[in-house]
Amino acid sequence: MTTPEEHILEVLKGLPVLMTRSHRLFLSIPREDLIKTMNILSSELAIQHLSTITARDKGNDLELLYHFMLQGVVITIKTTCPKNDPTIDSIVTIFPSAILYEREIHDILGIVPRGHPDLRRLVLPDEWVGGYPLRKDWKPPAEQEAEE
Amino acid sequence: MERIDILLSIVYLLLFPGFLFLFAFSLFTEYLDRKIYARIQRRVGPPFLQPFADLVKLSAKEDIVPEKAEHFMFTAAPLIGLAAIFAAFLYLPIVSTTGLHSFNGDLVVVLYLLTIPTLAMFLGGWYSGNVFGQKGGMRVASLLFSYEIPFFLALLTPALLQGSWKMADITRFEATHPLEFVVSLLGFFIGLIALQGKLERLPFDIPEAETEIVAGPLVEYSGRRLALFRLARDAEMVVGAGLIAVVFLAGPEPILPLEPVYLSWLVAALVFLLKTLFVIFLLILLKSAVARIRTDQMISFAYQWLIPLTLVQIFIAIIVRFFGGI
Amino acid sequence: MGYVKLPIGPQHPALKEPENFTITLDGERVVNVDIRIGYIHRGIEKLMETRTYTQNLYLVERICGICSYAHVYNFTQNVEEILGLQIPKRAEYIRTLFLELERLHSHFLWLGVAGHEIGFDTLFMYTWQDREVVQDLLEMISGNRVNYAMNAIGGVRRDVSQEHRKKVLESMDYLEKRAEFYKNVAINEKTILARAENVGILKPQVALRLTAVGPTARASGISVDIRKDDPYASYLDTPFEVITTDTNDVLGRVVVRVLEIVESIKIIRYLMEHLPEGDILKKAPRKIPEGESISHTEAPRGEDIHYLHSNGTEKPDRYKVRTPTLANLPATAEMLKETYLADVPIIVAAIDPCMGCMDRVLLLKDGQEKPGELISGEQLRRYGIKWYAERGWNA
Repeated sequence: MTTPEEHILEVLKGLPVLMTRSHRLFLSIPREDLIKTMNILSSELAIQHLSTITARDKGNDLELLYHFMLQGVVITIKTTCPKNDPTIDSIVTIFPSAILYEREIHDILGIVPRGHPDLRRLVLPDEWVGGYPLRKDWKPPAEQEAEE
Repeated sequence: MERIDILLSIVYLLLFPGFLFLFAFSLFTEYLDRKIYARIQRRVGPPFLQPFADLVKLSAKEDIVPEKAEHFMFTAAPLIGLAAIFAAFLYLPIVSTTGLHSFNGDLVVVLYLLTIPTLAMFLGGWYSGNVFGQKGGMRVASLLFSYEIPFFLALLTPALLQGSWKMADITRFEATHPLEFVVSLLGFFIGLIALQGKLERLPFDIPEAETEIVAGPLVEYSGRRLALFRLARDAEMVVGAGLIAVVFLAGPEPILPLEPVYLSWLVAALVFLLKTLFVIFLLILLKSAVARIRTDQMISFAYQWLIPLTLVQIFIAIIVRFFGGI
Repeated sequence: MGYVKLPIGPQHPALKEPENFTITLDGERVVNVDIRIGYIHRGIEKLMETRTYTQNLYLVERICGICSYAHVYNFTQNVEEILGLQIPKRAEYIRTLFLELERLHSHFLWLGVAGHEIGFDTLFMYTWQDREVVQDLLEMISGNRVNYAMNAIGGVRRDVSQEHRKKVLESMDYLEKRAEFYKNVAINEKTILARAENVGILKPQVALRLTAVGPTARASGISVDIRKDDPYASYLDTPFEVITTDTNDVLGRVVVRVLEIVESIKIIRYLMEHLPEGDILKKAPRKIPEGESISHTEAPRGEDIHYLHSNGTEKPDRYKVRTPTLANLPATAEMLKETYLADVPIIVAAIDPCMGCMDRVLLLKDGQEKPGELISGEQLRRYGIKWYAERGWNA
């Protein structure tokens, strides 16, 4: 009997999949390939469970991590986008549950998912003008004002 | 002689068993309601004077009329409700076979007066200018018929059995024909359930449904006006339960011919109280054992079960009457 | 009277925490639902980047007041994975005990809330009294009722003594009887059935597509349980069943939770009877090497996933938390469509919403000149003192 990990590795053969421990798979891709990879996950692996999308500030780039789950195995797709062009293709059409997670990363890190149907604020207040709090160069507005 | 009559009427109207008595008894009922409900839920419950303290405190609180509310109707609603109930109370036979007034058809008058608080509730909610209040008002209005029809019909059963619309005749008849209670047993329970709906208590507290529409019609009420509404609610429970006690359980009967005459009044009042409390106790039990149902469920419950069963009850009454009565 | 927009929240008696559901009503029928969250966004993720791992241990616990332990567990598991630290077996068992006790009290609490939402306050009072039994156990072992402060990186801070074991086992006998009683109430009481059956339908395909998690998904017949799929703590040793029903409605969610109470009791009994001897804590370094780790657990409300990226310092570089409620929100919006207004509270409650998520106080000024302003804790303190002084009170 093949384990879920072996099955996933078999399907994703040829792609640089990294297994850090049992039940944890990582795959780094350029952002142009995002939709292509998502389609593979959705059609060939029949994954429906998108756990969440994590985004983090890497200095010059913003890194996005799409966490999927299949039979307990967490598959993480990593991609980056430069800070001067923080856009990414929206995956809402493939994974409808991404709708809230993409709103969240747009809200707190300023990553724009292209093609997202509803980019209102999610966690920050509607009148928020204080920038993107989870970027490393962000300061609370009180400090921002003091500097000015 | 005439002067004494007037004096007695004033005492009857204002003190006992009139307004003051109803006021005190209403607060006592609220205490019982809350205490027994709490004990069933394994809680301690309020101290004896809590309902009175609540009323005094609420009366002293800031009383706000929202800008969007219709000032006149918003203020009038609780007063109309309370006045109607106090008026209804005077017709109930408590100390003797009759109330303050007794005439053929007094039962129907009390039934009509008891509908007014519901309408007051609807008006208060509708004119409060709040979306929750209006929603609640709409619910009051849409549910009105699902309990009023069974309530009316159920309470008319004993009148049909006896052939009089006078409460004094009904109680007299019941006191002499105990079998009458067995025949109208179904009507008694329908009356109880419909009264629970009239009082907007669980499982029928749909117009107030705290977790859905906050407090429904009462959402904008505060201070004195809220206190009045609450008092009206408690008094409605007393009068509603009292009416059921009168119509089905013979009210203050049997009246013992004791000397002096006020002793017999007291005994009669005591009998009436015990019967009313019994009815109230049943209402509390029902409240603590159920969840709130939905508007559509209540309407279909009324039309599929309550009203047909009431018709069965009336049919039984007519048959019994036709075959010579009891 | 046409469509009416009814705001449920941010402040509303049906909601235990501020959220906003703007419901468009046609009479009593729900036509559309718009969900707005973020009213209690506290910026914990940002705050965590400024604190050491030890400090974060206690911060992470305050994400949620009910499932606090699931969050701490995830945090410690992430840190230990990056450190490559294998914690003692006894500590694993004690952690599992806490995870399950938490599930127990959370499910009892939920049962009461569900009862309250449909106006069944007697059920609410009964279940919350039984929940106290679990709370007492948690307090007895950890010293705390809500935020247990039980975990340390490398193990647990307090041991379970022989008396504790005895007391836990006794309480489990009592709770098992109560769970049986609630099961009978839930499936026999007519008014509960009237309010829960065929209400808030979530079809399995929809649940999968919108990634519902936890009891919400399991009530739609989806057998998803991280404890089985990706065993953590000592779930590999412990025998238990994954409870599913296929009724897809609120009643199914009630039944799933009640039966999960029974399963949790079984797990706790097993843990207490097979508790291994040994240490409970291993020493861990203050600095965490560079690395990343993902940890997910089956919190009482479903999959709770945490991501940690460390940069070799004492403080995390990025910490991400996704609570189960967020995952269940799209499914909730779906369930609410075409229902009755009266069903909205129970449907929302049926996912067991728990909004946890920054160092931020929003001050709304009168007249809306400056709608939102961010102020620091110190500014807030001064503002408070001024506010009271202006009114002649002593701050």
